[in-house]
Amino acid sequence: MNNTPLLKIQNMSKHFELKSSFIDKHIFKKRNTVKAVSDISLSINNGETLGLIGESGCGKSTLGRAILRLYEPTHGKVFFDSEEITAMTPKQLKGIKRKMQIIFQDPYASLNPRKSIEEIIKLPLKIHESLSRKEMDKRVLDITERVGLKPQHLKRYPHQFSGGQRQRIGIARALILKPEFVVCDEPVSALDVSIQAQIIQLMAKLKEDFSLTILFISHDISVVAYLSDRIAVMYLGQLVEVADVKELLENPMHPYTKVLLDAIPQVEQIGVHKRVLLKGDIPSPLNPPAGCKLHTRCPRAMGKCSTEVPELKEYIPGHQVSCHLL
Amino acid sequence: MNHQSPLLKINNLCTYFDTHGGIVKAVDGVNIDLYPGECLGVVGESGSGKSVTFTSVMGLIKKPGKIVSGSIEFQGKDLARFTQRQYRNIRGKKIAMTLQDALTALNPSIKIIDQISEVLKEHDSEIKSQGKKAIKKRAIEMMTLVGIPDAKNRLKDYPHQFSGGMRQRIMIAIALSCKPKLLIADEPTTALDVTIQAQVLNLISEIRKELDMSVIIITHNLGVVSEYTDRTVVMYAGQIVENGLTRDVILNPQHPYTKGLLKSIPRLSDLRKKIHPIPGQVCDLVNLPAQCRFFSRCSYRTAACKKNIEIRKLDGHGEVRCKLIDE
Repeated sequence: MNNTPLLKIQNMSKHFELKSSFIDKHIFKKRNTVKAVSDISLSINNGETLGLIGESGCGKSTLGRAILRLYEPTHGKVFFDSEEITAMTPKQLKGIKRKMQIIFQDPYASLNPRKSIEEIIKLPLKIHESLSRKEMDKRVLDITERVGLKPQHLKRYPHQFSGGQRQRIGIARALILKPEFVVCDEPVSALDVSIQAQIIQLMAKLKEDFSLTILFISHDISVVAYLSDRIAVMYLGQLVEVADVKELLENPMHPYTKVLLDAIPQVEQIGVHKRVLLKGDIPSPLNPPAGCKLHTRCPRAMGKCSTEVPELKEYIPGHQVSCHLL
Repeated sequence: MNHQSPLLKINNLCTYFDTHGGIVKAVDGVNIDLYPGECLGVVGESGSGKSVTFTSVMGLIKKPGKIVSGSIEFQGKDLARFTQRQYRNIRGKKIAMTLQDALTALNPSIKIIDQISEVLKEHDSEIKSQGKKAIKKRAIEMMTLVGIPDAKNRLKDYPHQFSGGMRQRIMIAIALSCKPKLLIADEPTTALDVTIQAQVLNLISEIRKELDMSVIIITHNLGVVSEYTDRTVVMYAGQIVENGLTRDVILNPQHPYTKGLLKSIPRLSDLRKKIHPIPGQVCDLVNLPAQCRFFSRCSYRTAACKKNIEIRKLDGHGEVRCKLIDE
């Protein structure tokens, strides 16, 4: 791993406009906007795996998709290998997409049920590379074996596979172009414990084999911690803490990270232990609180928190936090 | 604790589903004793039969499913022989169940207050005789008990107006409103975020102490089991493979499957510890092999495992279904 950023996100925001009534729109000039991602800056180094954690609705998947321009970011820039993705024409974008791929969460919804596995895995090659049929088949066979599927599986259809095997197909499809950067959006969340472990192990191996740079999105902190080098924590569309895995787990500085880590029931801990809990639920992203977004639930909120937005600042080298308490 | 007679005694329960592909033996000879006040964790992966076991207890198995044999003794009566009419005195009143997906379990077109009062009207004749006001008061009490803020003003809301964690709480409120002797919580927190999960599980364990009821938590999360339960049952392919005090099962697992499960989860406390997945997949529940059901995935297998394995008592409290454990 070296320290040159492969991917750089600058002040990215992604807002979704909801339908508002005619009266709201034209008379009150009011619009319903969900600020799914607001003003995030982040860079991912070459060869690094960055874990992105947060609760449902915090905008982590939106961020992952906006990086690949599967959603158009509302504001901000994304650089890949010092080329600005956000300024690319569709044609240029196609060129860069072969270097950037995504693995989706739901292995049931992300595979076309009418296509055979071979067609599914081969499609990216057909789009991005001009190879002879023989070469193509060779590439397909090679990746199939590397993700742990058998050649006879290629003629079958998605419904004939279990969740874990489907996820292997999704991984094969993402890796057949030999990309440099992969967004993994909750790739193991839909799987059973023993199958989940198989896929985690496979991903750890493929990461080495293909020297991949990965953005690993999950709500399961132990899975993220196992695979990542660095972790970024999101809450309501903003980054609250970014640090190396070990540093983050041993020395969490943001109150949200602390609560999040404390809330995970640990296998070794027999019996209920007292924990600090957040009050209530995540506020609606339609109408997020002013100031620090956590202040409505934070156990240590003070006056300033409800008015000023804290900045993401580096307190220890490599450890960024956005909190007024520090 | 074990000197009392069990509240629930599941005896050699078999629930099969007659499908086009053959008979699926979803639950195949399950024995569980649950004592008053105890919290039991049931762990297993999808298809292990953990949910079907307890939908059988609730008398909710629908065609093509059928309880083929075995008994479910609850307070001395065999529920497996109950008619649906007889079940009405048990279900919701003495045994209550919360389901995994709170959004589909609640009726989207009925107000929350009506969904909670329905159970009270059906089962609690004392409160019913006191009239509507008393029922409403009790419903508010239940909602406050499960920690729904501003309960009074939310009575007329519909399920979609609540968040996932709140819906789960409403379901718990409905389940607890008749003060049941036994609460079966099927994956109570799988759809929830960790911070909300902690809130809900703490709530269940507090109420359990308050009402002195028994709780069964069905889950695939070993962390939840080790923190919140007294005893753990591990299920695999329709059978119990290990049963013991949670402390023993988690810290000193005996069955290769339990060992494998514990080795396949990444630990936050020790990042360098490598995970070791269990190879392969669960066997087909239609064509069950006449050998140990874990045989093809087990790393300790021997020729002795090639026959049907019975569950056996261990020296301490536990039971395990494995040939390798010394008799």
